[in-house]
Amino acid sequence: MLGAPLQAGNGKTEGLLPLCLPGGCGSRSRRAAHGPQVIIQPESITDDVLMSRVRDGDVQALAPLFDRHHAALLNFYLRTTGNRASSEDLVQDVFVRILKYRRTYRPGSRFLTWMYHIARHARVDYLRKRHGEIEWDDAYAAPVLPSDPAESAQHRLWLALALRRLPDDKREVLVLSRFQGLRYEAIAQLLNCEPGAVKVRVHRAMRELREYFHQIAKGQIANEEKP
Amino acid sequence: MSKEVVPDNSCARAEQWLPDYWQDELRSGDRAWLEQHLQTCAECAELAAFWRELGQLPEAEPDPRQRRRFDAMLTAYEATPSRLAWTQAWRMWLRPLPLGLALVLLLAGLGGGWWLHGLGHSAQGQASEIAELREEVQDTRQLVVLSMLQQQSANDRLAGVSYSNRLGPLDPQIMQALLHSLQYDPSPDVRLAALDALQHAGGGGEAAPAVTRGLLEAFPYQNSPLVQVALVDSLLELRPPAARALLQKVSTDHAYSPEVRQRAEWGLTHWQ
Amino acid sequence: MGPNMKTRIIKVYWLTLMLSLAVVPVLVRGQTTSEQSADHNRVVVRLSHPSQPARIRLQMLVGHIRVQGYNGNEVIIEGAGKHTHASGVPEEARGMRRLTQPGGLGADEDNNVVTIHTGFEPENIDLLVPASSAVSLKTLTGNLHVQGVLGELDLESTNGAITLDQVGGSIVAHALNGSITANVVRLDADKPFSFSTLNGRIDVTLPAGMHATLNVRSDQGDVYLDQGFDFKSPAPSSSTSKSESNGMLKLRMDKTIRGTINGGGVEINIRSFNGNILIHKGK
Repeated sequence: MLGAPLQAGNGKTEGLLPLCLPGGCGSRSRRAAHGPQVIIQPESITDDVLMSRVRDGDVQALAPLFDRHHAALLNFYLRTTGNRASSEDLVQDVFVRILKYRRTYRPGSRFLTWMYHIARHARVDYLRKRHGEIEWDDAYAAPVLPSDPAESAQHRLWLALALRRLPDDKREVLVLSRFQGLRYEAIAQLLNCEPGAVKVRVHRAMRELREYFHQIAKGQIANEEKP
Repeated sequence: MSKEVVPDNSCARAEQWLPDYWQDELRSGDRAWLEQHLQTCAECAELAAFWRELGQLPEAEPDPRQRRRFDAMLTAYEATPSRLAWTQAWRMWLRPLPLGLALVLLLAGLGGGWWLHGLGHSAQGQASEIAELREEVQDTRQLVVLSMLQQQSANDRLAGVSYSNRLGPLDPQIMQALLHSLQYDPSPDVRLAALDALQHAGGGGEAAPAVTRGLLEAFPYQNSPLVQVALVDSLLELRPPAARALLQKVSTDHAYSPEVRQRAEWGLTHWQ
Repeated sequence: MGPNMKTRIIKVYWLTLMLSLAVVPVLVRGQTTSEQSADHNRVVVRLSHPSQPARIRLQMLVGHIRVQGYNGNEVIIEGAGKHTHASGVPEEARGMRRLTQPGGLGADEDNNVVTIHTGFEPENIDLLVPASSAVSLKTLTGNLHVQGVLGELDLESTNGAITLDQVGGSIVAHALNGSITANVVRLDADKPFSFSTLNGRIDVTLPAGMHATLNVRSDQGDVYLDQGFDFKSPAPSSSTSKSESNGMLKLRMDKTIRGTINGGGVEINIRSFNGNILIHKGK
């Protein structure tokens, strides 16, 4: 919630410097001192190369992949489930599954698409276990930055609520394209349809989003006008 | 959608092209046309604006503990691949079952395995195998706790925390799970119970520094004043040096409710 | 026989079990019918498995919730509140059928799990539920009142009081700024109880013959226990002093009071910051 927002929407995550969180970068260099002599330089190695290494047995190569992608994955889950605890659990689960299914990764293919494929499955399984219901954190439903003027904070709240109100599949396709930086072709692969169909879905989702936004805005304003 | 009845041609085309425009996939000629259209058509412009506005929704920051959780998982995976298979088997097959049934079946399965294991082995072999099995049973109980902490009902999760209390010294995975519950369980009662369980473990032994660090880190993420007060109390009991600075900050920060500030202040005056 | 073999055998064991279980119940959706009037809404939910307990969940922002347990097997929901969606039909929708509920009161049923939805406006909700149901309620501002429900209760109110009467099973109740009053007639042996408040009194009545292990604490209030209970506390530093009124034993300590009643059993956790805690003995 704090800090500068990442530039989302242009599909480029490879080559981004990993966020250096306290305890994050430090522990990695510690490992490099004891571990095998190959010193991994995260900035220059592609996801595909790293995942191929994991597939071949160098399990530690998963760590830079975690560093690169776990923030985006967390946000993906937050936007589609709204629950922080579940989202964090799901992120961990994705990497467990990546380890478990590592031999099914095809070197040379796009890691990101494969990862989101796994991520979607993880979410479906998680929902099924909870009978399709995950509690939305109230705090997450109302993101407000301290520096906001009152009106845009309100707009943002309505926007978040409208996004929350979208049906699951429309919201997901919107999140994947608008926030996770996936191209329509990649999303089409994930959803097993044509890129044209994805574009139509995105368009319909945006229209519905606008509709809900106006409904919410009207409802809130009418509420405020009552004595 | 008020303009639905007679579609305006240029709007229909614009709407068709918007998704491509949004991902920068329009040819320059088409893009010029679209931008021109957006300048004149209020409705299409509004839709385009929504896409932009979505970008203003804040991006959440992950917390550092997740990396540690990942590290623990990776280490566990490397150390005992066969045990992870057991954990995964648990996840794949036992979680969907209701908890009571899962417990019964698990114990039956374990009993079955034990029996099969006992067929035709020498006495010395048996002694070491029994030791191994005892360790596995301990693991099983821990797996049970971990599973209970993930149940859907708060009452079940509370039972999980209570059960973990009876397992004796906490193993790192359970401790992580309890810290996770402390931070993120939706029920304040479960969080209080988790804190209580952690404090029992943190009272002495090797787990203490890890628990203390976990409590310190959990503090900023708590938003229930009751749990914050309990955390302040725990920190006052454990007395890690870092807690003092934290309590000083809490006692003066008006983001915390008066009860919490009061407690922190009281604690500081008694801190020798 | 190594560990891998054992794992494999157990896997086969599970597989056969799962296969046999897979033949079992396909999800049967229950039915929901609803009626609407100008400022009143009523939804009746029939369960997929009427002979089995229901699990009812409701989360709202503003409103009081009252739950009454009864001897039937339907869940009846009534909402009363001002709705901004007028009951009249807007111009552009003349001649059309309204599919959405005014105010948004509705419920989904899936395999005996009933999830109740309300709109964004404040609304008071009355629920009539089978007595064996598990009920989970959460409200930001509002009182929660539950009567005659013997299933699991998970209740949370940030600003409001929680009152429980003739309840049993397992209870987790949290009223941040509010009191909790409970008359518990039965305890489940395997699941703990928990009552917690920040600012509010906790006043519970528990069954006389129960076997329980108490963990009780009030940071700035006092804890009172009915003298009729056979209470044993291991902590030697507990200072007890007899209070003349009510025949209650007054215990005051800085730390959590732990002890057993009738030898120990069900775990009961009670915690308040600013409120007094009273534990009465029921029948």
